[in-house]
Amino acid sequence: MNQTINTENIDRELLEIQNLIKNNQNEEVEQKLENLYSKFPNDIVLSTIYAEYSFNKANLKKSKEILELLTKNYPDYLFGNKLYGKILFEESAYDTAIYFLEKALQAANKQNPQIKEEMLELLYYCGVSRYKLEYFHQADYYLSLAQRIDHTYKDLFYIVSELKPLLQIFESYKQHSSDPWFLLAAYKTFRKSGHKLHQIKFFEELKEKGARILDYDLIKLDLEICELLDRNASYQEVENLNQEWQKRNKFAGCVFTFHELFFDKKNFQRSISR
Amino acid sequence: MTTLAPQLLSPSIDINTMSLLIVGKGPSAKKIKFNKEIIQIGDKNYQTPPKLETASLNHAWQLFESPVDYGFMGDYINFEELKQHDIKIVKNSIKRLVIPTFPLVYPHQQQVNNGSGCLPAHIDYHYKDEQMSSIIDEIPYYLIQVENSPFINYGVETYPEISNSVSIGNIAVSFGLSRGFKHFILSGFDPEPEGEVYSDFYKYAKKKIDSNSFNHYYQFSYAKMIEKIISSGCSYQRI
Repeated sequence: MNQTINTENIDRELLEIQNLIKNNQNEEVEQKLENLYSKFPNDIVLSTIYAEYSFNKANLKKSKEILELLTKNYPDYLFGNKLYGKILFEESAYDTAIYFLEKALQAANKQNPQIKEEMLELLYYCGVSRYKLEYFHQADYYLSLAQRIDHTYKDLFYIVSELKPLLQIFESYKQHSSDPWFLLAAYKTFRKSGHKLHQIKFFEELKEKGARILDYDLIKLDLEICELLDRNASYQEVENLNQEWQKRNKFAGCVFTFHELFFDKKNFQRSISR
Repeated sequence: MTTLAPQLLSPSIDINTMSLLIVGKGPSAKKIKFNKEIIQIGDKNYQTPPKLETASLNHAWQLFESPVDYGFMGDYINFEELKQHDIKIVKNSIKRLVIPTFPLVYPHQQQVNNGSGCLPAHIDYHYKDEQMSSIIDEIPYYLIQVENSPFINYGVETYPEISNSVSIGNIAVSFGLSRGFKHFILSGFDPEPEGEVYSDFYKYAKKKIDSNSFNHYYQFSYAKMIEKIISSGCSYQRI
């Protein structure tokens, strides 16, 4: 946020407030900001700092109030639009969030290309959340959005193109919600794509619906291995679990192949060498 | 066929979706009869989905009353058995054969027929002249290579992603995906533990297969199939 503040025009009081924020003197900051804001509600720098401060303190109501005015006064203001989009995203108002985030993306293209990626990421998550609300037809739009970005954003393109199969899972879920084979495949797909929350969701469902068929303990062990990998556990820790996993996974009730585990191991070793 | 209004087979798919009906020979396998309007699976009638093609796994072609588009033939024993049929009947029942290679001997294939169920590397593809010339001279066929090996290259389509779980169902799904099928209708697949192997189809292997391990292999293979369909963004249904 410091980048936005034009130090030539800033008031002494704003500098003071910034120092107070740095020193975590919250009570004083809030009072001073409120006093100053009541005098200059249209000041762009002050509004930004106050909105950001309220947002960080989880006072979304206040932050939203300030940003409403700010985005009205400065419709092309990058940080105003970005923060407002963020807040609306947190409040699950995805349509309006996307509207403001796109404005911010346009502004970022002109003013600050460095944060373009961040904006796209936010848009991506908005898109994902929106899909959950069954706005599936938007998938193509976000794919083309990612395509428009140049090659430096290959990773993001990869993420977005990954979305389509995942969306199909949500769509098929209604039809196959009690089919353990579907749940298992969904678990494994989300496991591969690294969508932890969905992975756990399908794991929980397998517990109830897949018990008749699947070796549930094996999947539980698999999830434990994933968790260890997530928190960069030591190689030995993972290896111990791997060995236990291999002992149990003697083709009987086999739902994971050795290949998959091997790939996990390779990734793990790669991440350690970094 | 009855004149009752048939229900939709898969309401979720649209007109442009290509669907592939894959028929296996599990205990729940049913006779299949279809024309452009109605498809009859067992006792039930459905509307034939637009752009439907059919595939049979190994000997499941016998369940069809109309010719199958793709007849997948996996293991060596299946050719042995196919030769016992009248070639005219086979020719009228299968439009195209799809023959995968199995250049390596896999553990599960050793289980089937005590290791002789599969084709060892050195006789792979030579069998087309020696063993099955009477069949493939009559029926058009595709050859597909299942293993992505730096040493073996037949110059045919390769499906390296199948190499970790070679089963004819997996190959059929990968084949379908590569040809743009988006919806898979599976019939005669029974991965549940209580399922039993169709004894008629396994008269060679019946005595040697431990039914438990065979079921687990089925589960493993079926789980792979579904995962493959889902992770490619396609849909499926089991009848």
